[in-house]
Amino acid sequence: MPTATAAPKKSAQDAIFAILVAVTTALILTTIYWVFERAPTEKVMGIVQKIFYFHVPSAYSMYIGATACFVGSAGYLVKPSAKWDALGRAGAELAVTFGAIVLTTGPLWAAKAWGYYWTWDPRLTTALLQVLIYVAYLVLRGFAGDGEGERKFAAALGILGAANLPIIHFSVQKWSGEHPTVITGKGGGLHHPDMKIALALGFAAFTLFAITLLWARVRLELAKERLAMLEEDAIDLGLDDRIEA
Amino acid sequence: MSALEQNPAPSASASATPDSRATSFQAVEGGPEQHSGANLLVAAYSVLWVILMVWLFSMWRKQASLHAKIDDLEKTLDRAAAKLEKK
Repeated sequence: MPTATAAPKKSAQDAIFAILVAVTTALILTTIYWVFERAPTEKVMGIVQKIFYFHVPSAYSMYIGATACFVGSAGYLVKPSAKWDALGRAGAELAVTFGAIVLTTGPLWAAKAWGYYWTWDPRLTTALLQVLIYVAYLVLRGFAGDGEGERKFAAALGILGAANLPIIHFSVQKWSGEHPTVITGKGGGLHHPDMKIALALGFAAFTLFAITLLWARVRLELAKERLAMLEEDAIDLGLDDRIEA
Repeated sequence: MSALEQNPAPSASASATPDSRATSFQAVEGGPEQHSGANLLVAAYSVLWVILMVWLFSMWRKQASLHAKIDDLEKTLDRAAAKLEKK
């Protein structure tokens, strides 16, 4: 019987999800404590440098969202199914959410460090382009219907978005620009151990946070899909009197 | 006559002559910092949580809409079952 096997699987999934939420919450609180209480203030920039500890992990989470969107989109184009589509859509939403955080926290740091909020630096420009691609994906999914054709077109857009990821990552090394290179390429790194721990905690917390949000969003999308199928079944069986009327 | 009476303070109408009014605004170059690092940090941190909360709220709304549809489907099934019982 499908219900007999599905129920324990579902409860195990719920337990893992609950543990994930608990661990993520604990890590976020530890990161906040470490960033504001333990990590020292940077010598040149001062307190505003602390934006770095959640700006960089947010960018990393945007990459996680973009990768999920790529995997979902590629999977959907190879073998169309609700699971791949849900993963692609959830990944795009995650990429837009964390991309928006990156594109607002970065300029707030720049206002102090550079004296202006925005410049058309290669990394800034490519990151903005990346977010706009996923915004286009979500606009397409939101307004162009939910048919097979629209889903495939969105999947192609999801793959195009992922093609931009290495360009963002290596833009700092290939084309100079003003964006700092502290932990990548020829960057000097973080000199204080507490700074390194703060960044490591930030990465761990945001990675788990991104996975938690992605999982919750995929589950919601799959539930929506199942409900739509049940509604169609109800109509086919002549049970839905809204159609009969 | 007192000194005040001899040199009265210029009145508002007397000082605001057409020649003394500001006719342009110029930016300060160099000088003291224009942005407080602490304020920018608080702003960045607030933005982070506001964006995440907006996303969570949108997920919550989608879930609420899903529950409404499930309720609707349940009612439809109940009505269909009631019809079958009558027959």
